Amino acid sequence: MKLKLAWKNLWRNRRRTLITVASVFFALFFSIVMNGYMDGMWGQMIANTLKTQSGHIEIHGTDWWDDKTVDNFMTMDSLAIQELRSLSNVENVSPRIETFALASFGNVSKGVALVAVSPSQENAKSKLSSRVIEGKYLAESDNGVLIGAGLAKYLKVSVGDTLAFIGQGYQGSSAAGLFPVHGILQLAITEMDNSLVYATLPAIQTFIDMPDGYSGILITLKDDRSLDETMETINSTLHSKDYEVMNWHFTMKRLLQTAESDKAFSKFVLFILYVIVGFGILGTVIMLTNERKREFRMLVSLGMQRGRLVATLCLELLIMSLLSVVSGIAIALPLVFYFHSHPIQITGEMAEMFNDLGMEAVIPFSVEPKIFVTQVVIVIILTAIAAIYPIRKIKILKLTEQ
Amino acid sequence: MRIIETKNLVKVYTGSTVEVRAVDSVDLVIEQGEFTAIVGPSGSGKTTLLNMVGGLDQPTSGEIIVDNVDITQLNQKQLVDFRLKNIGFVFQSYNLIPVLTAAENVSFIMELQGRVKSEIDTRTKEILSDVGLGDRLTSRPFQLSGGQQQRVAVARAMASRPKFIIADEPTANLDSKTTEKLLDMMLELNEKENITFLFSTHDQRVVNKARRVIVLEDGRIVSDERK
Repeated sequence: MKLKLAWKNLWRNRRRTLITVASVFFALFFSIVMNGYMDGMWGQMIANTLKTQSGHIEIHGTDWWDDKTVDNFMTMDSLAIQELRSLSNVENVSPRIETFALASFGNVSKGVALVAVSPSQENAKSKLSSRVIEGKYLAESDNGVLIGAGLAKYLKVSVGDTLAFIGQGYQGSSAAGLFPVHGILQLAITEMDNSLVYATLPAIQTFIDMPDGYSGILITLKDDRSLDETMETINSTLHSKDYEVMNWHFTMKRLLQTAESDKAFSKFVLFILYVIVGFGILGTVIMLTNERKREFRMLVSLGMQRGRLVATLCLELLIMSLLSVVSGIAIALPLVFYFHSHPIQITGEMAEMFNDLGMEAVIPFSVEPKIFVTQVVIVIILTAIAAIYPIRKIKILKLTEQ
Repeated sequence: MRIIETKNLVKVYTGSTVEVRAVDSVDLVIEQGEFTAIVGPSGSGKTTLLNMVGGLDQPTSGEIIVDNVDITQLNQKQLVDFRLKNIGFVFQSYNLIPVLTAAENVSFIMELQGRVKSEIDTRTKEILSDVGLGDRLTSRPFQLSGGQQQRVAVARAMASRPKFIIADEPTANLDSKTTEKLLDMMLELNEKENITFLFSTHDQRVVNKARRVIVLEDGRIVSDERK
């Protein structure tokens, strides 16, 4: 009876009900699509960045993060690195050295960022070889370097020339070496193009006089959702106070904050939208409550408990919300799933930049269940808040009032 | 058998400056099966008395015994339950639920009482036929005339076979012919089902049909006459 009465009451003022349902429907639809887009875009951006420039997890020497000097580098033997590679959720383990040196050719010198990697591992991670525009990519035991095109231009070097490097070695020694240029890279970020030098790990370990020495080890995971569990596994595998294990939430804090602040703006827009919709629902609820006061009085007089009357009214509001939610999701879901499997293609200069960074120039929509669940919960909460008005009115209803 | 008894019933409304004794020391006994009209000028306390007897309003003092239960001692929930099981109401402006059909309006109370569907269906058809609306089961209130709506309201009040029915100015919105028909019908049901009726009314036609007439003035019973 409650359901029947609630359903019939819902259509008492058909136009008003439809307008309310439509307003909630559009808010829900817009929210799902917007959240799907924002989460998808930033998800892709973060995934790309983690893949090409960082990793989900980084291992460093204990003090390196605060003081990035060679003396704070870590050492790890190849067996330990192999053990990390064998962990179940680990996709890629990329040991590296990041340091600075003074590069000279002829009469020209420049401070450069020196990045030593395992060429094969790095290529698997960031497709570095695709950015070689002149010369060839590095082999594992090469003693040569790849340099940014901007840097090559500044130093006036070309493939086959030899650069002299002077820098800081391990434990206060000075590092010096000659490195032939094997290739020139086109790097998307100008700053990197003008200052970055890639070399192999053995070459730079010899240069700084620190065999098995690394500034850090970058680890990419198969499944980011098991980040904490994998961190724990790595910690227990390493079992040493000489290492510091950090996840990307910490190492890429700035990127995360940028994403959060961008999402916060869209959340603010949605908040305003929901406030408007909330007032719409409240307006409907106030109207229907005041229209039916006399009827409420009659029902309680005849013997309907106030609780039962409240339940009937809440059921009516719940049906109204569910109509909006179901229709909103029914329309938004296929759209979001479509753009998840057929991502928006980025075109023009932006696409070129993405490609140069080794990133896919697409924006896939996110289909995380939380996007849908959150919107449904918001609508239910808004309805519940609006229901406070009639609940209170029914509670204080005087049966003898005219 | 006494179905309603009030003892020294008083209802005082207190305003900012004045105190109004709407019902003043009323002692009243209604026997089962009576067809009683309470009459009196506006403000004489008819509706207040009926509201208290029907458990819709609390007295300032005094007792109201309905079928051996002092309803002034019941809490709000118990009162609602008591009304559901024991009292039928007919209101001046019909007060049907507009979204329900005539049959649904009648069966509604029985559903609240938790009766089985087959019993509800049988009784609904029976009582709507008794009030002459056997062919209007599926009509919605807006499809019925004022008189027909009030007949549905009477059927609703009687459907669950309450101990008594309170009717507050039931004919106020009806024309003479419809009033006559409605009263005859109520008298018939009163005789057929032995249900007690208690009216408040200004209408002389109701007074003429009533078997007992109680006159109220300034909240006091000034006359109580059985025909």
